Amino acid sequence: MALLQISEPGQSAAPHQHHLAVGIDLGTTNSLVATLRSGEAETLVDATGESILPSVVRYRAVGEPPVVGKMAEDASVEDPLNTLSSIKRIIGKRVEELDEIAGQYPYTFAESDSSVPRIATIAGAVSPIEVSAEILSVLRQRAVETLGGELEGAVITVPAYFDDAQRQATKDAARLAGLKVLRLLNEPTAAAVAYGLDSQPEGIHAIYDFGGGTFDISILRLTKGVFEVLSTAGDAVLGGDDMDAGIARWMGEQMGVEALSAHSPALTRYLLSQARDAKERLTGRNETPLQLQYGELPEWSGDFTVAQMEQLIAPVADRTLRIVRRALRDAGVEKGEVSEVVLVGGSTRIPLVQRKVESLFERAPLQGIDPERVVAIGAAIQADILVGNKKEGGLLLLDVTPLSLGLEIMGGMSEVVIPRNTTIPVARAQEFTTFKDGQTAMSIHVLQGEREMVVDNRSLARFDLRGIPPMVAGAARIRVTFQVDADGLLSVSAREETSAVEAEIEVRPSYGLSDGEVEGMLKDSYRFAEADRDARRLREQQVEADRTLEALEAALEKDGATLLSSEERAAMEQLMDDLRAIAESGQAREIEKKIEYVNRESEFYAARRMDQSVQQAFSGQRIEDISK
Amino acid sequence: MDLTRHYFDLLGLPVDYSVDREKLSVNYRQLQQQFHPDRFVSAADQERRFSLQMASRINEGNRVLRDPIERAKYLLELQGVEMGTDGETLRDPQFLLEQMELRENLEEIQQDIEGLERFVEQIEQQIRQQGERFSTQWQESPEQARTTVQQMQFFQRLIHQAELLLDELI
Repeated sequence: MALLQISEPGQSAAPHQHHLAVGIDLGTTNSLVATLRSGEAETLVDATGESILPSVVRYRAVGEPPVVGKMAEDASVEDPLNTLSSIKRIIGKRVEELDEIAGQYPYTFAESDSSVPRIATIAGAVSPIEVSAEILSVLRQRAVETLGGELEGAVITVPAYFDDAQRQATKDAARLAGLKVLRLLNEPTAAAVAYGLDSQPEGIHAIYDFGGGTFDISILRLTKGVFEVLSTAGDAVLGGDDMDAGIARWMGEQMGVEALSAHSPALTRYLLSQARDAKERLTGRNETPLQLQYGELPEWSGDFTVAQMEQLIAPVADRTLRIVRRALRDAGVEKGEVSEVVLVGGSTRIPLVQRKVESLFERAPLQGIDPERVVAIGAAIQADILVGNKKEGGLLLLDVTPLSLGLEIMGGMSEVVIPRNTTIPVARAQEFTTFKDGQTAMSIHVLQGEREMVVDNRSLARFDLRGIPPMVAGAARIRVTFQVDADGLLSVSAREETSAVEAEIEVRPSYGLSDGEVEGMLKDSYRFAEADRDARRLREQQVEADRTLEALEAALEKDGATLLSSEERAAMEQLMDDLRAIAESGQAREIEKKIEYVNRESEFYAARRMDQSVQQAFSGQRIEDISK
Repeated sequence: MDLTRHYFDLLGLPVDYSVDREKLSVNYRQLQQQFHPDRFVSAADQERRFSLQMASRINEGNRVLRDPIERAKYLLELQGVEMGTDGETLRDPQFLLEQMELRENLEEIQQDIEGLERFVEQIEQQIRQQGERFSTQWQESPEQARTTVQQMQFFQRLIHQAELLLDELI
């Protein structure tokens, strides 16, 4: 017989005390998963005790599952075309945008009729989203096995400088891997959280995040449990990879190879791995012997010194410092006001990088938490807060949009609607008018970027607003509203305001994948046998039902008596009982429908609760204002 | 839910051009602690939607009240004075002449980071002076106040251009 459970005094004995949630650092070079267990953040390890998963996927013949991680990485020289690494640098990019970085990649891009690039492998053409999903799946599996239960959700980190498409693609990858995304969190912000909870120092922090493939700088202010990001800047394709490429080019020259990209992919791979090794060997040492030997090429050996290496990588480091200066200016902060500088990311292990950062800020940077884990740990802490494991709500993060969002106007110019470094979530509307007499449609072109001309910015979406009644030019008033949510994702709507006819359209720029494409991939995937998929869907809906019920229970307990009449309250409880019953015995689809129904029926109550909170927020301070 | 409450009211400040920035910060943080979507991750769908709208509005209010030009425009808007379009012409030859000189000045220093930074500071100083003038005008003579705001917008555009140049230099 089961023993009766008695909870500690002051704690509830509710069945859903602890929600399983993880933080995932999906890195260019390495990925990690972390969680909070009894208040302590820890990175989760695989069967061999290793927490770092190299972000490398090796595809094998059709029917055989791909290999992810160290084993894939080890095969990269022998099987360069099917072993995909640094995929984060191309996620969310369109085919035509690959030119600038394609030279560094040994893969073959497959012809594709969609705008999402596909890489040809032995297992067929794969998109960067699918490759990322493979990595996320392994981490998810690791978490489920370690924690012994299905996850309620995950916080996944992205470079602060990721644009809308890159964020959307990352979210799609998570969905494909069967993860519910609680929040996309900017990497430097995650690092700040990891440090913030450690010591809670109030003041201005600079987070310098230099990883394998991306660079980000964020300036934040911590005040009384609120982290406000003041500015963020970066480069989504600048990282340790560029340093390796510089060293590899030099090595190639020593071997008599002028243009590396003209040679075989395997040679590029060989030199890159030699460059990486040499770079690591030179940490804490002044020189290291090199012996380069590849195929028919003449062998080369010699000493490689720190001074030589620093000369090769200095241009990359200097570029990061210029970006730091811009972030300081955007934040309106003098470098002397920065009280802490935090280093994050593998590339900050390089002494040259540390020296340069220190001399810019005139202060020694903090490195208390392992820079390779700090992002995953911060994400885990935030995931724990978001699923409600903290009693008092915990630290609050106020993040910003990294890039300006705007629209195309006459003359191929870009008009900014939401400037970069605006705190999110944000909604902003702007009015536009017609150019010609009798114009009945308007083409709306949504852009992201800082440049004045449309062609220099990233195109996020295009849509037409139709049904504008014919008027003289300049008479129509078209209100375009941009909404950016807490994940940094944009939706746009437009409507004509003067006429009775309302034409409204809402667009969520997505070039990752359409919902249909994701569904299709889920169906095709060998990862989810049908039974497995059904079971998971049922479990997801049950979790969702629990969440809805918990939210309502908590609300009723708090203000059900004051905000609802006794009839309303009884009706609400009836609704909840119905949902509870269906969640226990029903099918996934039925539960989903019931949840929607409960949500609809309780909408009025939610509205009343929000209203009440606004009223209460400043009731104490209002009086003095009124008396003025 | 009342999303129409004006920003001063929402952020617990008296309706005035001069703003207690410290109090604004404290109230802003307190509101976001309560309404930010991160506080509603486990809530029902409509509560999450409301929270998104509320948090967006709180952010926008904070931005408008913090910014000297946006705040001025907002005060006029509350009084029913329309700002009109951005490009509206000013009929003050003296002011326009000064603007032209500043613009020429900007051309000359477009490669000079420190010069540009000094330029931005100098213009910000001008905006502060206009702000002082605005605070004596907006209640008594809103039409004059409107002209002051238009002048501030001219200065703002100069700062924006200087910042674009700075962006290119770094």
